[in-house]
Amino acid sequence: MAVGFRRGDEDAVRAVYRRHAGAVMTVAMSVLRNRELAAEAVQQTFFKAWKASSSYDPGREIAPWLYQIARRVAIDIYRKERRPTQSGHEQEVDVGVTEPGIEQSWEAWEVRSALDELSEEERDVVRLSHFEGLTHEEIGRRLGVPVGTVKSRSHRAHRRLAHLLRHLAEVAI
Amino acid sequence: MPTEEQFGAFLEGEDDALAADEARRLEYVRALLGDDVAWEKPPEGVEDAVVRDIRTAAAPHVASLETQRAKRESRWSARFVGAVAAVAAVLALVVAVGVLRGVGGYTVDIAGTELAPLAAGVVTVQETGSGVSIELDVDGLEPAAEGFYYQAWMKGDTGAVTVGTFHAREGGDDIVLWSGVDIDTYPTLTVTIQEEGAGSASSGQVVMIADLRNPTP
Repeated sequence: MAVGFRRGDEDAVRAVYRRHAGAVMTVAMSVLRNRELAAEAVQQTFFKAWKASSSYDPGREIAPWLYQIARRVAIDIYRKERRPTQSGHEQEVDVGVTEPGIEQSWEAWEVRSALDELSEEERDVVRLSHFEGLTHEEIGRRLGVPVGTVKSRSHRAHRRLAHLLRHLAEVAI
Repeated sequence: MPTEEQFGAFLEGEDDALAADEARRLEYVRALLGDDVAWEKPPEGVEDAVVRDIRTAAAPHVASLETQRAKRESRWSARFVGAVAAVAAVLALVVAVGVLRGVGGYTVDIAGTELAPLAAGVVTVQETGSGVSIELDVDGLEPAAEGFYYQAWMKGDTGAVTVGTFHAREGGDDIVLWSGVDIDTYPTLTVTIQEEGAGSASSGQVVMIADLRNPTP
């Protein structure tokens, strides 16, 4: 897939995109906190990755390399958006937009990548539980499944996340 | 360090699955599960836009030269535009890479070294009556920090000649350099990172390198 991506093969480009676009969007959102700018960052990231693909070793994991590009693109966009307006006064800056340390965006990437590894059923349960704050009973009603099924999927999903993110648990402060 | 079972239970919401200090350390992971950044999807159409961008950029060399010419149209004389059009027609029929040099503008790839592994780009070389125009378009090269700058060199067996400096703090597009020495004698283009006030000699820290005798087919 990496070799095809480097050649610009459409199937390979789409495969790499579909595998990593979610995580790239997560990094972009964590930096930019703006959906439109983050989408722009996603598009630029994959294009720049293709342009730089001659420097990428296909024998190595593509994710860390792609992450670095995504982070750099997002920060470049953030800096451009922060420039003063032409009239000279400071542009209003959304107080939520801050330039994160490298560790924050990397961990967001890792969490998103782990979520994308879950099955759709497991991911739905995690999202409804954490992002929408629903109880197991509420999730069961939303998905039209018994609460026992929700609990089972939740248990499985979170143990899988723990496995995929175990390296984060190992990192000492 | 928690077990995977403990970590999984904690992520699921069991606060007492971990010791207090571990829970404080790993709370950010659980918080990310509830953050919209972990769930946002790119809008529909971005995937197709990426494919389109790559397809356009990967178009035949002739089309690429024409695109660059359109971008920098104000700097080219009408006579030179005619010469490039003639070159474009010749390029479509040429098989041997060595024929491309000396006929008009051409491009070569430039790659980052271990000091800048993500850096890559294209060098557009144009030999004129007064020297060699060298234009860099690079991606992935970190902006030079305050107190530092990048310097480009033409290198050969007889030594190295500087062809310009830049900082790339607002990107790596359209970096214009100029050489008073010929490519045959100084065929290698390098970029070094230099420190202000450290003298005019090369630091020896090469971040990018290109062979100007190796045009992109």
